[in-house]
Amino acid sequence: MRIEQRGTEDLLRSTLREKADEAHDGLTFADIRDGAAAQRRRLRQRRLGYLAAAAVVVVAVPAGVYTLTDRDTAGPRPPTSTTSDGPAPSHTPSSTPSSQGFAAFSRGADAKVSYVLGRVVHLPDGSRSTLPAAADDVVSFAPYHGGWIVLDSVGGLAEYDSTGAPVLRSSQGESNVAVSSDGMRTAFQVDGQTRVGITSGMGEGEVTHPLSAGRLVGFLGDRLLVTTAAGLRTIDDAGNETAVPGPAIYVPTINGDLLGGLAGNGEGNQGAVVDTSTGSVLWRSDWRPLRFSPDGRYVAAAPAADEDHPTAIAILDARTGDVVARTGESVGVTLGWSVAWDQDRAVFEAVAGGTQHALLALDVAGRLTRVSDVVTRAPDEQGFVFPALP
Amino acid sequence: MTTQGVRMRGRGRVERSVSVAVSDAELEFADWMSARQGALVRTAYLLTGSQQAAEDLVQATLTKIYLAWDRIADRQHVDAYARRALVNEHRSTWRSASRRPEVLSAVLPDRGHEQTSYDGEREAVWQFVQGLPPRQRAVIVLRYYEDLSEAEIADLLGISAGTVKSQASRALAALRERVPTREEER
Repeated sequence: MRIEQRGTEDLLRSTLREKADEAHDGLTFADIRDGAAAQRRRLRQRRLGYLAAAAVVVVAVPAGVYTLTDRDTAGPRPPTSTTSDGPAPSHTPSSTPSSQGFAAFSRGADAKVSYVLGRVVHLPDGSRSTLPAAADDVVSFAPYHGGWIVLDSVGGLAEYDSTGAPVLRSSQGESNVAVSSDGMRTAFQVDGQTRVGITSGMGEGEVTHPLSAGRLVGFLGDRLLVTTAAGLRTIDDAGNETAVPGPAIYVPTINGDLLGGLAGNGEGNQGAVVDTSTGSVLWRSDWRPLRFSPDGRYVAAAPAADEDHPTAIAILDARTGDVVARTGESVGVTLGWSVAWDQDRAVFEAVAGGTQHALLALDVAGRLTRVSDVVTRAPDEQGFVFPALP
Repeated sequence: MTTQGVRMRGRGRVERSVSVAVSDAELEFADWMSARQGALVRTAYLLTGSQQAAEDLVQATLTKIYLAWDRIADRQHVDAYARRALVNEHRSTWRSASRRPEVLSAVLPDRGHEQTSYDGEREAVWQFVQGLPPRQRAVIVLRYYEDLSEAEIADLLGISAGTVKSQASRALAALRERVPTREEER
């Protein structure tokens, strides 16, 4: 049996090697440079469009005025082309409430959650600020020392202070950012180190850990949680590593001592929540935990078997896995994986027709409502991006 | 930043000559691209199954790397960076291509005609790989071509290591049924 397996694996390896050699590379540097220039042009055109919209629509004044520095534009800048992206736009989402995909949802109160749309940071109190021009492909963000940590789609990280001036930009490999459950501390992984500091204010006490291997996930209590080849581990302020008790959990969400996520059983994915103080599995189910509510009472979840997009979102009792509320089997729009909490409402993005984006909210009573305007985004633009949370 | 007159030519290479000004960073990118494009295209070809799709995927990936080049100061990490960008780009492609959930299964692709020769055996293996759902195929390519560990693949694809293992073993079992190796036939 073992020999049979080895023979099949060898055949597979040799076939893939042979087939791979049939491929040929034909791209020139000019292709890439021209493609990047076209991408920059599209970005500038979008921003000009936003500025035009801002000229006729009164919007909130951004909290900060940002200047674009030479260092603050993306890519190895061609010396013969202009890469300035102009002033930061004040983007107001275009409201299209008649969009067919969202017509079935009644309009609820705006979600009081933080998110980034384009470069505009929307805060729960309704205020807005605008990220610097270089932050054009944001997939995650977090407040830090009164400014922002921003992560882009290829794992690059940048830190901006409260005036929008760049403080730090990652120079190697991938980065990551996470915020503690109480929202008080932010950690980020950059250039082989992990730095931990307070989320708001300019207080002291930033701690730096070497992190040669592993990937930052978040905070488990007072300790950093990282994934390594050997599984999940915590790191204390002195740099001591400890294995997390219980089964291996992937793509985790954290609240206090509770850790939820995918627990592979060798046959496919299952969801599970583990109490890390004891290592005991509180429950396993076909629902995969996505995000604990801030009070730790609930956890938003999606079907564990879903691969590309969740086919449903549910609110579960965090300690028992019982379904408290859920969306229907088919809601007529494409749902996103990221969830934020607005008190007892799980808030998540939905997309209709590939370009129409809106936030939906499911509350513990099972009501599903639209809690933002419908905004149009180009197919290659990010929609609503929630801040990094454990 | 110093600049030099260069003429862009060849596969990712730029030759110092005339016409277009290129910065030192761009020259460095072009050198790296020249060295790594082949490997990226080969992996992309296995992931997508077509030369055109592989080129599109690599172009999108290289464009992202180009735009991020200034901050990738430590070139030791750029290959891993590029691999993740390639896989992420591929994932976004298959996700946007199909808004319905992908069903991972060990169901065999159409068997087609019987293959008996050695080349036919490999062709049958290739047809089998091409018939796999995108994520399962990515698992197979990353495991058996890129030689990544289950943990590394799990991290890249955002799934559990258990799922990587089960998807790979199901594919192998189906492949054994579909294309018995010559050793087994003896």
